[in-house]
Amino acid sequence: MAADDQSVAYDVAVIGGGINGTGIARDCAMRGLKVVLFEKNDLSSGATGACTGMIHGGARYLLNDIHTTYLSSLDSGYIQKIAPHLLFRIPFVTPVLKQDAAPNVYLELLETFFEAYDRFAPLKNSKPHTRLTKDELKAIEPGITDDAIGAISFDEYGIDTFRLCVENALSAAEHGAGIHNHTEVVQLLMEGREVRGVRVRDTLTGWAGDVHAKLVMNAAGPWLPGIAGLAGTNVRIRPGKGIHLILDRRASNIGIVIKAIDGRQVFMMPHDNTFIIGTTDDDYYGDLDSLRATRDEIEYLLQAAEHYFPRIREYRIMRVMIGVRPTLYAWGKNEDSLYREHRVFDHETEDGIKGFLTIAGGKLASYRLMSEEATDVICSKLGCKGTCRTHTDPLPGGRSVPDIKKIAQQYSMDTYAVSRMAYRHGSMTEEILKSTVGEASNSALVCECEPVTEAEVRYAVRNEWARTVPDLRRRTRLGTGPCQGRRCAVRAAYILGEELGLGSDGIKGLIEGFIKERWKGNAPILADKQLAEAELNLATHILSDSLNAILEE
Amino acid sequence: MDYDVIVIGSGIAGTLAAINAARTKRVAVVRKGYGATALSSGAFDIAGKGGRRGRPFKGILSLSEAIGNILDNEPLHPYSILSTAFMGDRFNEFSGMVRTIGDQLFGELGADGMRYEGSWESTAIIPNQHGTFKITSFCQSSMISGNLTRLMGRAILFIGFERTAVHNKTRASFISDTLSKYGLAPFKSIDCANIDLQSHGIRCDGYDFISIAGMMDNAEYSKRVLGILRQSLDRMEYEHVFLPPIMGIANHRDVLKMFTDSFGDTVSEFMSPPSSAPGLRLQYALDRLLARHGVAIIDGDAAGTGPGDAIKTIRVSFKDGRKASLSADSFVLATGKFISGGIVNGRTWQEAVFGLPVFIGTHRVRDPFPMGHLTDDPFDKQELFSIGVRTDSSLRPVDANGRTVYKNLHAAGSVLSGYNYLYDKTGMGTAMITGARAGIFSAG
Repeated sequence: MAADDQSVAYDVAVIGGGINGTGIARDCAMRGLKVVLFEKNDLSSGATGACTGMIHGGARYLLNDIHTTYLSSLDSGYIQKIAPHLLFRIPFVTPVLKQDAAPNVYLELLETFFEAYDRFAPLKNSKPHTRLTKDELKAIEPGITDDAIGAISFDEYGIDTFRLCVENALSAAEHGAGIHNHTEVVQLLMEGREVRGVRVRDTLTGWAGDVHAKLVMNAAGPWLPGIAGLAGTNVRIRPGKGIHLILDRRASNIGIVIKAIDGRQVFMMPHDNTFIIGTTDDDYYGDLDSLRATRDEIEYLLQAAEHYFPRIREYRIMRVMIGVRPTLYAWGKNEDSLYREHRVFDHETEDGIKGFLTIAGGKLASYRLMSEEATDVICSKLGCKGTCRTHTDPLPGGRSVPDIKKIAQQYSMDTYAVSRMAYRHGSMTEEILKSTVGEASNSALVCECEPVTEAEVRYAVRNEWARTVPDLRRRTRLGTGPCQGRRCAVRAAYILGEELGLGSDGIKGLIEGFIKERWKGNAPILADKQLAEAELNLATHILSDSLNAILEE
Repeated sequence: MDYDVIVIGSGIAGTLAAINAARTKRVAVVRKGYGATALSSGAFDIAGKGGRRGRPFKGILSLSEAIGNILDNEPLHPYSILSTAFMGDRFNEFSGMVRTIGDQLFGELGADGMRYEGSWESTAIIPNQHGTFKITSFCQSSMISGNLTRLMGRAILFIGFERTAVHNKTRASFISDTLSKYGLAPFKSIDCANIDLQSHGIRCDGYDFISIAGMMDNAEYSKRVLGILRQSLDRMEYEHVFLPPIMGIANHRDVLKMFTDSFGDTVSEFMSPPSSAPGLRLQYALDRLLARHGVAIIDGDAAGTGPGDAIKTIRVSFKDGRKASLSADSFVLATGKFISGGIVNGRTWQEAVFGLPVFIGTHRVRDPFPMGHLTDDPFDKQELFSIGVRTDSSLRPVDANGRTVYKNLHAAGSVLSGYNYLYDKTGMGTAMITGARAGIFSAG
């Protein structure tokens, strides 16, 4: 960050660049507040980036808390309006197996349940449920076990969570907010029992400085207790670790709701060009900055998936995604029965610390509503009269629908490449391509799997705060495809290094960082077909590119 | 008997086994497709880092020094295992054998138009596009003039193609920084430039060098590309030019001749990652070698059969669904590691065709979960990739007690344990030597 940020008096400093932090920054900035956001790693690199990526209507709340279902469905509809480009419809089926207790009765009950859920379907542009016979189910998805006696279908939406965070940050920045990733809050500036700002340190450059703000909003997700500790207070959460397995392709075009060995609900569903199986939910008290998937977690998910989709182990599991949920604290409940409720803590009323708020809990699908609530609290404390427009004003990419064919022609690009870009950037697509016209290799592909062009990579560095190759991955899906960065890692590092004005050592650091980060997700699941890919990746990085040699210094 | 010897796999190891056995026997190769050899850089690194860690340039050893180190320090390396059969001067006898096998292979490949150049005394240093390089004993002749040790003091230029790779100032300074850190300096200059084939109306719709190489097999296409290169390079200052490996694949011999006629030895190919044209060229040349030695090539998936202390037949499944049983006196297993499908894991780890036990070091591996054999840093030596079958000094697979599993089965190449080619860089050498020896053993 630039030194002049220090001289500005901010209204709100937000800590955390997940969906809560960026959502709150956007809402505050749109209501006219002067906002600055700090994220110690990257936007959506924590709990947000590791979540299932669904904008759902909250079916699970239907039984005990129908109002939450209503609000979730309503907000799901709003998110579709403000970010239509980032969403993709996922038709789901909930199969009933003959081994289930009283399967026919269970199927009836399920249908009754989804009949009730249908009432909310119009709010989120979903199709009503259907009841599928065994044959109909097998026709839709032949991979499902012959043990299925039928299924109920329903409709939800998936979303690119990384883009959702970045677009919220972009929108906040359009309204004057300062966004600083790789910038860690190391201390809260206190005057007595009042928080007056933050001391931050750039984790990549080491730059440090103080930033003053009237209010500090702690939206650090699973790291929030640590930030609260800096203010001398204690906010308890019930951290729950969750992993997802990611396949190299779509095993199915529909989502399947399955039950694990302990009866927990797990999803297997298409997501972009991949397929994900998850999630687990286990209390976690280890190091938040170095999460590891265990064999038990991986086997738990595979077993569950295999129960419903017998040939799942024949697919290539490409990587494992690991995150920790910042669930609200509760004693005496098992992990799965914890509701995804959220709460805004005003520490002035809670424990007499002025100028400090914390948001905890919640779920992706209602991030916008939660941000609105938190911003309402902020506004009432600061006497700000602005009204919330986050449900009506589209995010930067949601303002119009780009003409993919026309753009492809104009920039002599592959239509598929443009359509993937339009999925990520919506109405911004053409502007991004325009911004690098005249520069060499503008439409050259950096990542061939996705694909991602050089223009998009450069744009992500210049306009979206990308500073490492994993940052580029989050913004563009570069390196997330079947080759897991084998072909694009070095290319991307060159472009990024060039944009950032880094020397050779800096570029080496970028390469190393990315390959190590991918390995962390690949190594625990190395099996079967993925072993061949790993051998090829290592042969490329080590034998052909001799990257280990340039890094060993 | 259908054949005297059946070899499973046709990469470097399988081909060497087959042609060596074919001197006296009727031989067939059964293969389910191309494997790691076809994906390789096509260069032969015989003894790699010689068991030494650390930066390669600082530690570059002569080939004989490197082989000596392996024999002294790595008792499980297939080189060491093979050398235990020698009674006298283990090192000299083994080194002599390596040279004999290599000279013979490169001689045969050269006679066929796939010329390899190199030396048993020193190693060549061929750069890639990242400013790092591959240390290699023998490489394709289209690369040898790019040996950096003989280009010191010259003005060198790296060429890329628009839409395939970024070759700009950043890359040029990266390359020169990296090379100078290895003591590979000074050069008069190191520069990078891009050539845009598409703007000259030449189709360049592949994003990998290998797709351009494939199109270069077409004489008309390669003539036009050469013309543009000539025209572009005439406007640039250089004493040596590194091109991506695009000098044809199936038609490499003719394409190379066009380049040599036009540029002499001032233009060479740099090393590129998989899948690159040189690897495929080598594989095609191996196929021709098999044919020349009268080896039958059977495209099918092999599976071992039956109990007992000797293999009588294997089952082969063909792509069209047909199945057949093939019998032979002896068999060679040259099925590679993971890329080629030689080692598989499901409920446990095992060798794919005969279900042989597999080892990491002397440890029999059963537990399918990999994490115990991996570390957090992919640049560390990852033990998992040294997994494979263990053999006696005649390359016959053994069980956990060291007992020979089948008396008429020999194994070669990366299906073997005891070395980790990704890190020790002896992959091609080991495949070549163990392949030739397995062929000789199987022919009795």
